[in-house]
Amino acid sequence: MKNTGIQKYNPLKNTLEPRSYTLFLLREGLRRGILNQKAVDEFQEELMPLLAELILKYTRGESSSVTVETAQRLLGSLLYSIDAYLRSFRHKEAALNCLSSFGAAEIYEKGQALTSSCQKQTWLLYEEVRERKLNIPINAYHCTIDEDLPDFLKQYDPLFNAQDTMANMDYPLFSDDMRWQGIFYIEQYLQKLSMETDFCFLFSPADINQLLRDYGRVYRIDIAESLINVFEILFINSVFSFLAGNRPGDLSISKPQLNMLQHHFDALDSAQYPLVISHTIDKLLDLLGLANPAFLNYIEGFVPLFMPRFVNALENNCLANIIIATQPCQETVRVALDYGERLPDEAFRELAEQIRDAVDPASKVNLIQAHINSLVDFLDLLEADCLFGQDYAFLFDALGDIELSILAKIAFAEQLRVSPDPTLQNLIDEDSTIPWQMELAYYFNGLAAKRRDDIEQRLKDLLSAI
Amino acid sequence: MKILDIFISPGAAVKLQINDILQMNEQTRHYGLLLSETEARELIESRNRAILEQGRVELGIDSLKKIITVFSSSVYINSSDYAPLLNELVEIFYFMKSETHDRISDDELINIMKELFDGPSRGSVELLKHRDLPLWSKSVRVRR
Repeated sequence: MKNTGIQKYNPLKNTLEPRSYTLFLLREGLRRGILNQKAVDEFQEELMPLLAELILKYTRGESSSVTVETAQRLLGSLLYSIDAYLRSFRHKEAALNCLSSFGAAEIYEKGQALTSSCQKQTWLLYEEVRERKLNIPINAYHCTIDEDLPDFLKQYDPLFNAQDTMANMDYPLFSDDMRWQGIFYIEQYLQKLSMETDFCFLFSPADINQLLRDYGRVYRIDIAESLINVFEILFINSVFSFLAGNRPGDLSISKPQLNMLQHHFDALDSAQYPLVISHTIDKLLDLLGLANPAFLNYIEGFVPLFMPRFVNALENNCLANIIIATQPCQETVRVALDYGERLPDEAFRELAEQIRDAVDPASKVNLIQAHINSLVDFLDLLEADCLFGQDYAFLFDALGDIELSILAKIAFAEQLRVSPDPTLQNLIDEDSTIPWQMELAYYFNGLAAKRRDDIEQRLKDLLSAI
Repeated sequence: MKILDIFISPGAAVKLQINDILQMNEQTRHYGLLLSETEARELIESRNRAILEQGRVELGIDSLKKIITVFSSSVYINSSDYAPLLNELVEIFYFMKSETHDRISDDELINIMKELFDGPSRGSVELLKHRDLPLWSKSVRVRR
């Protein structure tokens, strides 16, 4: 063995870090007789030259000593990579066999390859999540995706600080697993966020934002500044909306429906609550076509987590605190349906400039929602050269079915005149040179079939009302 | 409890380290400087104590060997104060590593210590420790 200043001493005491899977396995192997004391000692001795080499790399060969804190961090990083490889075995026995058959150096090398590969995969996963970002007015969500996650991925150091999770992601997941550290924590965070996003995409942005606004009203909070999980709010409402008799994929629940649910559960024995809810979830997921095993596994923990809150709300006759009843007022409708209250010309010009200069589509949409109250102003703004590229999709996302059908009626007036039974998919006017009308046609083409059907129905209602 | 506690105390390695130090006598014999086994043991103990006091970790005794190599050529060191002087130099070395927040490499620090020891300190460990190195370290903090 290499002559070192620090030697192994009374190995495998009860003081080992609980998070180190390697040290846990060594102790477990010893207890079960799979490893003998000599093998365990040798494995730990092999860690020392690896640590010495890491210290030299860390100091770029300039110093043979480091502070205790640095040495602890480096050893933690080393064990993190070894853990990574040993955790890649499905069964503990296989990992123990690996420990008894291979040296620490070899396992470390393989673990480092796994960690680096995970870092690359996590970047790709992050890009996917970023591209599919939801248009919701929750700052923590945007900050986590736009700043915290890329900052972490840029700064992550798989060699000297692999175990560190220095990201400060404020957006909470429905079910987070804080036992993970480093890049593997971020990977599972993104995997879960991606699954939550998939679910949220089943609903129209207008419906999601309506529910969030109602949620803010119930809890008297500014949802923009709140640390709330959107998936959970949507999931709960979609389940109980379905249980109340609405179609699958509906988020709305009226107050009478909420009362009906209260009576329904009051008539049941409390032991039946989880069965009823689980059955509803299974049926709903089936009808929504959600069969991804990872997602099903993810929401398996929902009922046990939710039941105490649900039972408490039911007993106190305040179901409305956890199932959000739809409020009649819809802010998005206001933009398109009100023909009055136009902005003065000067104010309109200033607003158009502000929108043109806004840094991202979400800010532009916020400005429009905050200041435009008239359909005429809204149409003028669409032609004021202040929206570009993705801005249109963000804006259309913020509109409800009624507003989109009104826009379709205006944009495709000529086609609608000649086609008595229009479908939104074939409304593209090849000769059109007006950007927002072309973007609207592309937007309709990209919509889920169900949503397009809903808007088409609204459009037909509008046309038949003339 | 910290994860590093699975590795504590020099224990069995001390003997190997003493041998390493005694082998350095071959280099320093030229200057008439030799360490006995007891002195080598004391030197290792001083080094371990200094590392512990400064909250540091070192795998190997490379810096101790560098101190012996560099300082053995000093005109101010003779055989009678060689061992106690090394004990003090080792203590100063690890103190300065922490004092300079690891911004100075081992080689650079040892060479500076030797330069000051042979220069303004004129072979006085007291002056080196309490006047010349603090002055130098202050300038390092300003410069870096």
